[in-house]
Amino acid sequence: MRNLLSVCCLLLLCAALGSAARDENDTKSRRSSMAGAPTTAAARANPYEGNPDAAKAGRKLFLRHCAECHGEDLRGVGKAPALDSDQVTQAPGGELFWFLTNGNLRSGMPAWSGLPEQKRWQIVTYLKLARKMPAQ
Amino acid sequence: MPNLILGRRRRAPQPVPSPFPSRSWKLVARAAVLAASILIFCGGAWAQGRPYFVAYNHHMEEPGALEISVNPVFASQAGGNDFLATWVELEYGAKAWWTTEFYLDSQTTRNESTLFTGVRWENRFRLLWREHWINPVFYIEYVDINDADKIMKDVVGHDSEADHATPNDIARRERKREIEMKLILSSTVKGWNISENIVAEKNLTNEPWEFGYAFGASRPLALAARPERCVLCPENFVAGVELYGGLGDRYSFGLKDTSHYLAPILAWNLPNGTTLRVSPTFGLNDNSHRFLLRFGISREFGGFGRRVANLFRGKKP
Ligand code: HEC
Repeated sequence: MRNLLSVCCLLLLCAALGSAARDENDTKSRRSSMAGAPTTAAARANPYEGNPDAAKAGRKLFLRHCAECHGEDLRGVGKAPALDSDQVTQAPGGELFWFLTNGNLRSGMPAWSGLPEQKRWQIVTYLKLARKMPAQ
Repeated sequence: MPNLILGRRRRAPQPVPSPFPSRSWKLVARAAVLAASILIFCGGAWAQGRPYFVAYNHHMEEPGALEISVNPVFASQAGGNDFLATWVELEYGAKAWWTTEFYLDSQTTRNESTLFTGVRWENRFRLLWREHWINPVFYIEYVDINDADKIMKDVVGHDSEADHATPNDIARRERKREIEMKLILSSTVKGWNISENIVAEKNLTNEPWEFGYAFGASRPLALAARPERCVLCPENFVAGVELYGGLGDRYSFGLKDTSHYLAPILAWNLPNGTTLRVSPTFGLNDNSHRFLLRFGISREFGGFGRRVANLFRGKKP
C-alpha cells in the first residue's frame, strides 16, 4: 500500500510542477484570453445594459469578490490587471461575461460560474460604467 | 401519605451524571467560542462557497485565499452515547484550478470523553480549463485518523451507525490510514448547482476498496443582487439538499448493509464575509443514524498567500 501512497504523492508533485510550468507559459497577452470568447457567447446582450441600479449592485459584488485582486479602485494588484482600461470598458458585454464565467485558470483568474448569471451581468454592467460612476 | 412523601424524598437526591467530562467539555466550548469570534469579527472576503457538507461542486477556492471553517455535527446514537463531532477545515486556493485543504477532527461523546481523532489532507483539481455542461474535478485525500473519528464527512462501503457505538477508549486505539478519491461532476443550470460525486476509498492496510456516492442540488434564494448592502435579503441565502451513502466494497458492491442520508441545507452569507450553514440530516434506513444536525461557520481571507509572501519578503503585508 506504500506504493499507492507514493503514486499519490507523485501525482501531487506533478501537479505542482505542472502549475509552475504553466505559469511560465502565461506570457501571452491578456487580450487573447478575453478575446477567446466564441462568437455566439461574445454576441450575448447584457440584460442590464446601462442600468444604474444593476451597476450599483455590480459594484457591491465587485468589492466582495474581485477587489482583493483587482483593487477597490480597479487599478489592479500584482498579477491581476487594471479593469478600468479601455480593453475592459470597451469590450463587448458578452465577451466580459464569458470571461467571468470561465476565468483564466492557468494564469490565476478564477471562474465565477458559482455566481448566478444575473450577478455576473450586474458585474459586467458595473465594469462598463465604472469610469462614469461617482467615486465611492 | 407521609410514607409516599418520605419515599419520594429518599429517591430525589440521586446525583445526575454530567453528560460530558466537565473540564474537557469546557475546553472544547471555549475553543469553539474563540474560533467562532475570530471567524465572525476578523475582516474577510466572500467565497463563492459550496453550501454542502458532504458533496462537492466544481467551484474552487480563489487562488491565494484561505478559508477557515468549523463544522460540528451532533448525532443521536442507538446502542451507545450521543456525540458531537467537529472538524476544523483550512482551505487554500493554491491555484485557480487546485484547492488544497487540511482538516483536524475531534469529538465529544456523552458520558465518555473528548478527543482529537486525526487529520486529513485533501486536494481537488479541475480537469478542464473552461466551463462545460458537466465540469469534472478530481479529488484525492489522505486520511490519518483513529476509529473513534465520527465526523462522517463521507459515508462509504458498509459504514453504519453501529460503527460509532464502540466506546472511545477502545475505538481510539485503532489507527486508520486511508486514501480516498472522488470524481466530482458538477453543472450549473438556471441558477441551480447540481453535483454528483463518486467516491472510492482504500484503507492502506489489507482491506478492499470501498465505494460511496453523494448528490447535491442547491440554488440561491434570489439570483440578482440588490444595489444596497443587506443582511437578510434572499440573495444572501442558498438552499439545497444532499443525498449520500455507501455502495459496499469491491467484494460486495451494492446497497446491501449500507447506510444513506438525506439532508436539506441552508447557508447564509453575511455581508462581513462569514457564512453560516445548517443541515438537519435524516438517516434513510436502519443502518443509518436516525438524525444528525450539522452546523458550519466559515470565513474566507482573500489575498492570504500574498500577505504571507510579502511578510517574508519584508514588504508591508
Ligand atoms: C485571485 C485573484 C483574482 C480575483 C479574485 C479576480 N481576478 Fe480577475 N484576473 C486575475 C488575473 C491574474 C487576471 C489576468 C488573467 C489573464 O492573464 O488572462 C485577471 C483578469 C481579469 C480580466 C481581464 C482583464 C484584461 O485586461 O484582460 C477581467 C475582466 C477580470 N479579471 C475581472 C474580474 C472580476 C469581475 C472579478 C470578480 C468577480 C475578478 N476578476 C476576480 C485575478 C483575479
